[in-house]
Amino acid sequence: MSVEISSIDQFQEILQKDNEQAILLNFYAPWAAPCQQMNQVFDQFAKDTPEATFLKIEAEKFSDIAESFDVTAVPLFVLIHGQKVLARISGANPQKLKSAIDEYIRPIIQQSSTTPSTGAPDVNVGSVQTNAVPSGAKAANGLDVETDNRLRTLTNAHDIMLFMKGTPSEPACGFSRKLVGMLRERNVQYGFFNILADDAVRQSLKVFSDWPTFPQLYIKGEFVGGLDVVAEMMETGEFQEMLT
Amino acid sequence: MIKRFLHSMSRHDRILSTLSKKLEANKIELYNDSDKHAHHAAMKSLEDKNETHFRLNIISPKFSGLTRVARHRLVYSSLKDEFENGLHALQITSAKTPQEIEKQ
Repeated sequence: MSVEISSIDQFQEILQKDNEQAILLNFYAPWAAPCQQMNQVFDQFAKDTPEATFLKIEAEKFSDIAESFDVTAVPLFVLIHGQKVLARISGANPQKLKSAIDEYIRPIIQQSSTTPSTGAPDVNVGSVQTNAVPSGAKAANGLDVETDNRLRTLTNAHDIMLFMKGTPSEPACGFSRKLVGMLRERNVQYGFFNILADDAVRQSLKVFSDWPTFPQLYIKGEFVGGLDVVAEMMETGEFQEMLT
Repeated sequence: MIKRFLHSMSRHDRILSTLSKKLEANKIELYNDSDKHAHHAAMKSLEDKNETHFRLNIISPKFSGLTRVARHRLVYSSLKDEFENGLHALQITSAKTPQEIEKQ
């Protein structure tokens, strides 16, 4: 079963207690659709792998824990054994997570017990379905269908999605900082993605949006523009209209 | 031959030249803001630190009938080569048609 971390003390206790078991951390944000989907996947894997410890950590709520694991984008899965980080799996990719479990956790389980491995069943999570081997099929914009689907999911993760350099609390570029400031001024609720932490998304989103720079703002899954466009729209009132 | 000649021009001049040709621009105001960004981590390894960030005001008849985003996309796609070769950012502070300017 997967465990939802409710306090830093609880987390530290679990980490210090059992050196034998492998521990898989799931850093997530409850408002992000990819995280909601991956949490279901995570819970299922937890049920199938009772010999390992599966922990869910709300990254923004436990920012100290997230910072100590260098979490810059969610979902992020961190595999730990014997107080050492064995692997970091970034992104909403069930196959990637399954492969990591098979590669790292199963050998550990087989070492410490004689329970035969049952194998985790494939989990269909609807629009976040990905195949182990890319099918080679291309979307209209030239990206792989898998990448295109992933970006589609990502740009719909929140009604207002900001793809930026850095994070709202630590922007890495003046333009991203300005846009974050403008959204904050107007008390806009939004989700964000740090493209500096994921080069695959950084490069493919330029194609997907047909826009060469960051920051990029999406509203309800539709590309709206960069800093200049959004700034002008805020002045004319168009932006406020888009929010309703 | 022409390509080599173009590359010996500064990026500033190349942008001016490309925009006036491809967008039949009536007026272009191009500012180089690169020194404001030279301290960025990403810029430190670049050779051409002083031509990475620009700011633009442009008037062109080709913007007629286009939404703001479409106008910016038109400017960006006409400068695709520059973006692939070290142009990091291009702020577009104004993209209007001649008619819109007259009305102001």
